[in-house]
Amino acid sequence: MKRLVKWLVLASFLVALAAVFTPAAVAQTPTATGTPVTLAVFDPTGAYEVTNLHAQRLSTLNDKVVCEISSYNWEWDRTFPVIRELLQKQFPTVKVVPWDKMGINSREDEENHVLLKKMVAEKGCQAAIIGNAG
Amino acid sequence: MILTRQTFSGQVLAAVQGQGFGPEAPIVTEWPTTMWLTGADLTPLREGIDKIVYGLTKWQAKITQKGQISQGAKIKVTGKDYQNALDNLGVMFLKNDWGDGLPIVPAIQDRVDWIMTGTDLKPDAKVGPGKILPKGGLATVQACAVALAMAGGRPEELPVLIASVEAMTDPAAKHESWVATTRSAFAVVVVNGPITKQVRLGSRYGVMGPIPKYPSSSTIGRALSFLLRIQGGTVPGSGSMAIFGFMRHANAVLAEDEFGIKDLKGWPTLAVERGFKPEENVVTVFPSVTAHQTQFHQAFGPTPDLEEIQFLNRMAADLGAPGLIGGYIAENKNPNVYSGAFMLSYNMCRLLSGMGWDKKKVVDYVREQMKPTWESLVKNGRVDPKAAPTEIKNAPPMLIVAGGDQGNQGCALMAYGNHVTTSAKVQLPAKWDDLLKQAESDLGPLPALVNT
Repeated sequence: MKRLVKWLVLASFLVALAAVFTPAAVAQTPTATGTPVTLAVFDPTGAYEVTNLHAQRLSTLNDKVVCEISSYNWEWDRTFPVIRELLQKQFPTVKVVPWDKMGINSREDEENHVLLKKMVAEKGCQAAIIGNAG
Repeated sequence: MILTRQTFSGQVLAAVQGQGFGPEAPIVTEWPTTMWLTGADLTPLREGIDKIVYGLTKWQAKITQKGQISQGAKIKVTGKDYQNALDNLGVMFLKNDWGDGLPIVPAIQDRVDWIMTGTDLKPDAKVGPGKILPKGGLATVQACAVALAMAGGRPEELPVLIASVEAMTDPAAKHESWVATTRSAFAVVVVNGPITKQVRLGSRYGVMGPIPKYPSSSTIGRALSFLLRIQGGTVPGSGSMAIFGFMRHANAVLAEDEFGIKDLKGWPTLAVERGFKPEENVVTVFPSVTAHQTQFHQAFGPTPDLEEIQFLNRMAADLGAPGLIGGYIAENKNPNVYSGAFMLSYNMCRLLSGMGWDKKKVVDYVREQMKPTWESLVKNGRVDPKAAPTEIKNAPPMLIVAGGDQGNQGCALMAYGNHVTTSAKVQLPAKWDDLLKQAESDLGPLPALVNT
């Protein structure tokens, strides 16, 4: 009898052990793979530097000089005249310097930047529309 | 006020930030892409004029002071256990457009400190000009170490990554252009010097990676991708408009097969060709828009030397395929401008050398073969058919890199326009030998090259 009880106890223990270590049981037991964890990782975005500030907006475009600076891309020769026409309709005294009168483009190089600054000053630009990007 | 098409506002915003303005700009985003195509209906523009007026008169910048802005040093991620915390970290990275879909190694303090043993530079030291464009996130040594940690890298790889970033961000290379363009360019990083026998970079079979025995190609390349995406903002469809986006998981980071060409007369390594000494560790970076393998052994020449000519002709046809028009029409005066690269297996280099071809002769011959006719340019819409034919110049020279294994093969790494190639020296830390010993202890002996 004692031997039978021993076997029953051992069998019960083995069944319980098997139940605990089946994959499903492991997944349902939070402590099977450890305790709650907090990872403190470096923010990968690091840092950036603000070296330029956007210009203040104009309160109105009337009596102001708005310059068109073209990338010579993506239908600039069709979109700028439309914008010009609509701005002049809304602000009758705005002066728009068309892209082909600026004699520059928005190309990204040092030589062009120098020329761009010169032309913006020469034409008295108080606002600029740059396009078309893409 | 900046006009752009829908879906490009993220890229323009990144470019504005890269110019030092912070992450904000008056951009009208709602106009459809189709409005910018030839002869398109401009009604959306007419209906959206108030948005332009708003951008010129009402929009206000939130950032009103200059200075460095840090996004915070540490992020905390929790989980019911370690694996769950890792999973949550991966999800958070994906939600922020930082991840690449593969598991992220947590860049915890200990791991980043370990990676930082790969350099004697200070964590906040700027690498090269200090910005990764178009977005302009700061390229610091710590940013490199964090990216390498996330990529699963090791300290001895950090000097190569830092040099790669330095070369890539050299202003002459204009990386802001090729990382953001629709043309799907990727970085090719070629490492030369004694370090190629110390750091586990692939140079032979499967050189474009990944290679389990040479994991550094993958980890350095993946770290570079993290830096481009997170610091540079080149998230597909936002900061990068690469239509197909080749090799964006890990770029192409490799060691030139210096051993394979070491005895060949007239076949200097890429770094030596670019003015460095053989004992210097150098990283050279250039963009490529795709890679195409050309086989030698399907040539039908009656003699071996004619077969070689046929092979080079095929390579010229492959390399000349993309738009290299600038190089053909205008005289190229920049000695650092190249029209793509050939990667030649060491057997191919030896075969050519045995037949009396050196690097220069190969380049001169191929440039001549790449030259298209005016008629072919007209046919492909590359020149104005109404224009008077002009003299077509040779394309700029191409780089030749020894790489790949024993077959007689070549690989054309197609040019992104006429790119400027840049190099940087690798700076090793004082305790370099200790790092290499540790790597050998962790990973086992450096695997020997096959057939050497």
